[in-house]
Amino acid sequence: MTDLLTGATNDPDAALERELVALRGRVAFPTTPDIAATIRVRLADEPRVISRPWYAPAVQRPWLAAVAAVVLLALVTLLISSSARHAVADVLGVPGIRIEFGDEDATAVPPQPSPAGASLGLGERTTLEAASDLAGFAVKLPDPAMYGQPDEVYVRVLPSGQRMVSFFYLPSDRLPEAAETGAGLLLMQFESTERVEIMVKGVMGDGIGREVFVDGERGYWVFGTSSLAILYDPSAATCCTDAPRPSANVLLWTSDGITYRMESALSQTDSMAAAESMTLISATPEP
Amino acid sequence: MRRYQELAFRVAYVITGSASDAEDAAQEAFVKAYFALGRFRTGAPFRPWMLQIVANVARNRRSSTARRFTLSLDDAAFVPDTEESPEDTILGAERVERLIDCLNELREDDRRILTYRYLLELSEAEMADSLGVARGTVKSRLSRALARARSLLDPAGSGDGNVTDR
Repeated sequence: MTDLLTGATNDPDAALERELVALRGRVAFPTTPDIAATIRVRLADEPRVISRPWYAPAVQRPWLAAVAAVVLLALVTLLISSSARHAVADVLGVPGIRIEFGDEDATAVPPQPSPAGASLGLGERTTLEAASDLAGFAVKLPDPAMYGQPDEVYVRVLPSGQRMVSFFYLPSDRLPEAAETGAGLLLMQFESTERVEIMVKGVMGDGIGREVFVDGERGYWVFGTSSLAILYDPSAATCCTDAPRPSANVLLWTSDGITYRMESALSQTDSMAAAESMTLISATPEP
Repeated sequence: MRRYQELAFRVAYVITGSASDAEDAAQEAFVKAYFALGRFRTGAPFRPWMLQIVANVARNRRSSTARRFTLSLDDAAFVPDTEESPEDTILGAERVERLIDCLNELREDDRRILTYRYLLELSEAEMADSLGVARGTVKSRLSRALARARSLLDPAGSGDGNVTDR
């Protein structure tokens, strides 16, 4: 409430906020170094490659291109080596999912009318109640009070022997339809403690992969042109059980040894809000 | 770059608690941003994108150093109000010192979010990106941090002395 004579309010938070704002010029921060000057020197020593993806040739002279080819070959060899591949996945992905940048388009897989998620390679249809038992781990879903219950639940036995649980949400006011899947939201989750690669996330063309933090855990936000493929053999670099399919916006993250992949037409902010609302199935009220 | 360097440095300092680590983080972030410019979405605001990179780099650096960020007063920046009585000036100064002490007594997450909002004037979206959380989470964390600061500052205050950590 505002005091009409003084203009002061009785809101204690407002009073504290005013005091904090008044601190602005009073708090001592270390003197800001001239970072711009240092960076200018650093950048002058490095080639400018901002307009092309990292995998494209960054040099024009033939002999430099040859050197680059050797380096690229070494990188490919590094990627194919199993232990090294896991190390690279640590940098460019989350456990269980490798993110690759490339330029091949994925084949479109039009979603079938019913059941809606059947064409997405999600496995056998099951019930929400049975999902945790079949998965062998505690399954989570976005806050049902906000996002409702999943319309379809699937479990797939992956080539690695692990089970992946998927929740398919039909489009709704809160969850706009993603053209790539026909879903309002598609959430996939699997145990990632063994650090076995299960999926490859391809980012092509105008696709962008960006590091994010979901509840303090590192993850990736991938939007634009991208694809998803499930590896046929976890020890193989490229073989896939299904043809790669185009993906909508994807948020990837891990929590307590479980890797989550949330695909939707939602923005990064809305996807992260859904991710941070995740709750255990057993903790959710009966519908 | 000069336009953002002070803010970038301070955002990094709030995370690392070390001026040298903050400088390294800000430098690394600017270089990363420079080479990622091709992937920056045209028309999107630059500052939140830049600050997110700064915060990510600073967080990665912090894990190996784990220093604690604390606030202190810059005495040189104090300009007494000439219309205030000496008594009021002293009382005001004591209150400011008490406020700083309270902020330093808070857990680091609370101190960081209050610093971002009120001292560095980050928007909610920028705080969300810098902290790596959803915007709704920022609001609730900010509210809880304010409540905890208030309960420390005025322990006998009206009804909020029972605020506890999560």
